[in-house]
Amino acid sequence: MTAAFFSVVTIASIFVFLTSGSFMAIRKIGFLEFIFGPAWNSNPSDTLVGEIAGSYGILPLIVSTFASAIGALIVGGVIGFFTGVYLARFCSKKTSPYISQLINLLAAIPSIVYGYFGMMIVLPLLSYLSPTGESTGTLALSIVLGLMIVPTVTALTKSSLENVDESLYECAAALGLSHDKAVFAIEVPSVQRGVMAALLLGVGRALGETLTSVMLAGNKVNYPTSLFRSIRTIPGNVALEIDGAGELQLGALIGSALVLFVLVLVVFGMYNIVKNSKKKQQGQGIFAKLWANTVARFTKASKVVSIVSTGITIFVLSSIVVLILLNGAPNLGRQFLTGTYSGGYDTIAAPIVTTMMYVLLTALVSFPIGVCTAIYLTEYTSRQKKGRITTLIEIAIDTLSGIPSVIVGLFGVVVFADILGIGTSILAGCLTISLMIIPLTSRATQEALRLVPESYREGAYALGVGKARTTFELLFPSAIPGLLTMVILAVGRMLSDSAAVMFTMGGVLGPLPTGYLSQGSTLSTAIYVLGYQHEYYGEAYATASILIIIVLSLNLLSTFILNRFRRSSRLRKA
Amino acid sequence: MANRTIIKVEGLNLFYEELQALSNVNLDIAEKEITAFIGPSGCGKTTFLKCINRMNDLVPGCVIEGKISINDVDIYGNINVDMLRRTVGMVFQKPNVFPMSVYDNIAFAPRGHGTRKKADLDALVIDSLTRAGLFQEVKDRLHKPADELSRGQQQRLCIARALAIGPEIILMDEPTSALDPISAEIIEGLCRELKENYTVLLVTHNMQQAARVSDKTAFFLLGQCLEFGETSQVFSHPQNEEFQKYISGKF
Ligand SMILES: Nc1ncnc2c1ncn2[C@@H]1O[C@H](COP(=O)(O)OP(=O)(O)OP(=O)(O)O)[C@@H](O)[C@H]1O
Ligand SMILES: [Mg+2]
Repeated sequence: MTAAFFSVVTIASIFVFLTSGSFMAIRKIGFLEFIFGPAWNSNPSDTLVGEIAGSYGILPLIVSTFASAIGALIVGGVIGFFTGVYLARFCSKKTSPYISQLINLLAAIPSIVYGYFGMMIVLPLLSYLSPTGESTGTLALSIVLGLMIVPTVTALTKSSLENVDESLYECAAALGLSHDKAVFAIEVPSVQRGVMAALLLGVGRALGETLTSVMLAGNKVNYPTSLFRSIRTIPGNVALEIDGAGELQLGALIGSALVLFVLVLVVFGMYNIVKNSKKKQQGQGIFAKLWANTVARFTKASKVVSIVSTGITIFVLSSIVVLILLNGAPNLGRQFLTGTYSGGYDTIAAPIVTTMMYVLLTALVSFPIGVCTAIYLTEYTSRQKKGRITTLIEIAIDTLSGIPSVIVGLFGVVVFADILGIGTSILAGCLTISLMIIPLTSRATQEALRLVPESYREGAYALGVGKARTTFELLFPSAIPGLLTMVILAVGRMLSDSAAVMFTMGGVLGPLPTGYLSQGSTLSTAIYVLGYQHEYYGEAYATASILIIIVLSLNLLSTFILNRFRRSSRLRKA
Repeated sequence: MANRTIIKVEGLNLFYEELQALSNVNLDIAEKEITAFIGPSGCGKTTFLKCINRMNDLVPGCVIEGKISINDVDIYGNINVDMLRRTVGMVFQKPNVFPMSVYDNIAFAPRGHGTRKKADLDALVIDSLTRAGLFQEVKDRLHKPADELSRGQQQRLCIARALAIGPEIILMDEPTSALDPISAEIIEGLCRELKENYTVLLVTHNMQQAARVSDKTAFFLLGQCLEFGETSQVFSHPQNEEFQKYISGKF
């Protein structure tokens, strides 16, 4: 019960933090000057009183953030969408699951790895195209963010197409339409909402990417007037300036995070509206018209585009993995993995230990709270009329799981590290990341519990077995596969996070941590520190390889568990 | 000889949100008899049964008016619902064994109710399985998963499970409708044996079954109890017009 309110309290405190932390600064700068000011040129010695030496306008940051998210949407949305259509409707039934499985695996790769790939491979390639030879900027960022959201868009498009009523297709076929035509002109428009939802989810994610943006955007405060012009995004700006920020500067950074928060909330709000809207709107709106006049007309061409997109998806995503592993392998020596630190960057023993400590404590903090929330929501409330409180908690959980890591990180570094006095440390990192892991575990546990047949509950209650015992001794054991998947998912998410970890743990590469109050880097942030900050490219590749291997094995493990469970339960039924 | 009344239902009304599923039901159910409940689908038989062990509490938006007392205790008064459900066991239409061994299926509830000693549990499991006529068939696989049993065996396991908590009343909601004729017959026979010690409320769609096994029969239509009496009387001299139509298959 108390646990359930956790998310509500967290989301409220983040909001309070963002508003109160930035209020004074924005008042000093002037609200209009802050939002519409054309230049960001901070000065750490600016305080809340006295003359301001720097300038704090975030309009170029907002525009750049938007431009790269839209760019990502165009790249990732188009490729992901057509890949999804291909997998659901054109690919043979035999191969489709394998490709989907592969794409799901690739979705689990941490975004920092995509970012590093972009920095090492995409930037040099783009510099051939760029008139100035400078390749950082909107295009590079859009491409990489786009690739990052391809798996999400693909999966959601595919599943919404697979849920289309079969009679719709039969109807179209009976009218003598070809397969291509039936798919593109009839079926796809009917899943408009599903696709829209997928795209919005992708945008939400692209808006918040932080360290990727630092690595690829170029980081000069500009309007994105050309595809190759160096830009700086809101999250990137926070990451670049949080260290050693002055009083006014910090307030302005928090203010920019508030703007980002609002943008993300708007996107997720739209996502929820689109996802839950019951009314079918077909053939309305400019998108539908555009669709009817382009893709739906040229179905042959669209089919070709689908095939090509799928090819690109598979090729690019797997080459990310292959290139990183190839470049990383030569550096995976003994000194690198277990060597003692001697001032250089030739060993990642410390990040390995730090990562283990961090995953352990974060799990210990967040799993119990997440699981209790889920139990409260599924077993103790939904049976009664869905009350306002339940709805409130669920909204809080949804919002919390959508907030970009950069915002939570900023909250963590100010509240846990500074105000509570923990300092930037592994502990502060664990507490901060827990805020994001809790909603995830709670959602996943809810799913797992919902999959337990209702008849078990009925049976147990009819025997006069109390609620607590039914939940813990009957429902939980039945939900074990779901719960294991939840654990694996959550650990994967912990390993992937970079921005919040970077801020709260200090992002230093040093000797082995001596305890939870030491500073440190996880494997994710080590990639950034090694590859971007110190130009130890080979070592960064090697770290990325380790991370990929861990994440992919976790993913395979969870698939394995699920398949095994499914098979055994099927056997028993037969 | 008239048996003592064990369940007394007075002026029972039940609403699911707007829908009235039971209206003004009044019944006296006698101890150690089988009372059959028949009527067309959707007439409220399951709903009525679930009032007696308060399983309807779990349904959101369900409102109950009127009074039900068991052994002169108002069950919607201030009582412990878990205790009530131990007095009133229930068997569902579809066998719903728990995903554990045969043994644990039966021992699960008693363990929670305080029987912890292995010897006691063993005795209880054997006793319940014997009463449910299942012991001979499963004695060698007590520790095998229960969902490996046949459907009919699973249903009898559910009955054994209900018996193990020591109820006085057993509610059976179409216990044979998901089963083959042979298993159904076994369970019918079982009902007859059970009434030596228990009061049985049996919902069935099968009029022959009601006529064969029950002592009393109640006929429900659109949430009302239109006919209630000795089974032999009710079937040979039906009073209610609708009921006459129903038993002559004109429905
Ligand atoms: N949980 C519920 N929520 C809303 N309405 C319900 C619920 N359960 C049953 N009803 C409604 O109450 C009425 C009585 O249902 P009930 O299940 O008691 O019928 P029944 O006589 O057992 O039917 P059957 O013979 O098909 O099992 C039906 O109209 C049904 O739709
Ligand atoms: Mg029923």
